[in-house]
Amino acid sequence: MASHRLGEALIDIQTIIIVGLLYWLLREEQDNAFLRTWLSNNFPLGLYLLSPLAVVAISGTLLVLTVGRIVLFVTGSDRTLVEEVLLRLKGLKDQLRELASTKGSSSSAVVLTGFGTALALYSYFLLHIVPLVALGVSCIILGFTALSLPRRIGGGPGMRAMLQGAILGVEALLEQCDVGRATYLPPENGGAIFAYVPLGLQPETISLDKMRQAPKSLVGNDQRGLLVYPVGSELNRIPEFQDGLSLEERLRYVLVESADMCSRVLVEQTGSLIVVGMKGAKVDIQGEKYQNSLGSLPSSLAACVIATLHDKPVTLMDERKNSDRLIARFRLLE
Amino acid sequence: MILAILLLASVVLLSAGRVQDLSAYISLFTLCYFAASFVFRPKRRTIDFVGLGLLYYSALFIAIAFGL
Repeated sequence: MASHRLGEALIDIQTIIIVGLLYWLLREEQDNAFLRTWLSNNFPLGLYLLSPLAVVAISGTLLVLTVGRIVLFVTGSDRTLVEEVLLRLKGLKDQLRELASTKGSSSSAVVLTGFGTALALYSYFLLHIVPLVALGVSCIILGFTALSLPRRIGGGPGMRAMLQGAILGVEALLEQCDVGRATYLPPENGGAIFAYVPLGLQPETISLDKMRQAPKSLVGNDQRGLLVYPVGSELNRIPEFQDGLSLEERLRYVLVESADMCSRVLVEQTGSLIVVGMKGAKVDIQGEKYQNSLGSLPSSLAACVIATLHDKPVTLMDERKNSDRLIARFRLLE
Repeated sequence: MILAILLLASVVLLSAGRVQDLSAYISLFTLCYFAASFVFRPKRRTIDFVGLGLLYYSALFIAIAFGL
């Protein structure tokens, strides 16, 4: 461990020395005409690497990395800089992967970014035309911006109003009953997602087959449960879900990009327990019975996505609203 | 689309003014980028890596230009 930390410290010191050398070379190149002539005759690339902007950009990046490493060194962390950054910014790895994914319309953005990079490098090193370099940089900015935008822009208050309206049908059905926590049933043979709502507040164990055979309407006073269509009952038919998206990507697609129910989604899974964090979640719905049994609108949609992906029944254990964040805990049932 | 127009206009404007300093272009790009982001507030799939990168490098270049 001590040799590992010594190695880390040596790398940091070397980086600082490199930055110092770069600065010294820059000063020397500016003051020493002979060095400039030699570089232009023997190593023209050196002239560009020793331009003030290139030196500032390289040194700035190296210094930020080194400061991060030194902070870790001083605070006694055993992790490397990359591990620490990945740990602190949860989901950054997934976000970078998401940014780099080149499915569908993103391919044109990748082409634009590639063209911009080639144009900027060619103009900077060979043509020496600054406006063309800037044009290349602007293409890179546009390409990356296009990559960071959602696949499809939708949602908004209209979509939320329609989803809330869809709740009211189920709410009317449950209005006269005492209801327990619902179990979301995965789709069978490409069918719809159902939710089994137990009638009565006492929890009871019931097999998946019996849940599926429950009636879809109120038929009598001794009825033990009811099958309802939750708001997200048709979510398994989304074509993009056939591409092998992860749970977080699916939830982001439904909750952020399509329904605009929240601004960000984070998922943690430990065994059969799945915790979904939703930033900026909008949970205000009118259906009290729906909320008590199937959860709030974003949680209900999330449960449908989870049931579809894992092909297992899912139940919402609880949900907590903490300032603008909603944290919902789900359990996969066997 | 608006961002593309803004960036192109920036390049045309500065090159018409015979500006040869790349940091000036990047600073103007940063301004345009954040102005467009502020007005349209687009939803993003990720953290705004482009904005953070532009902000960092333009701040660095401006600091150097002012001799800080």
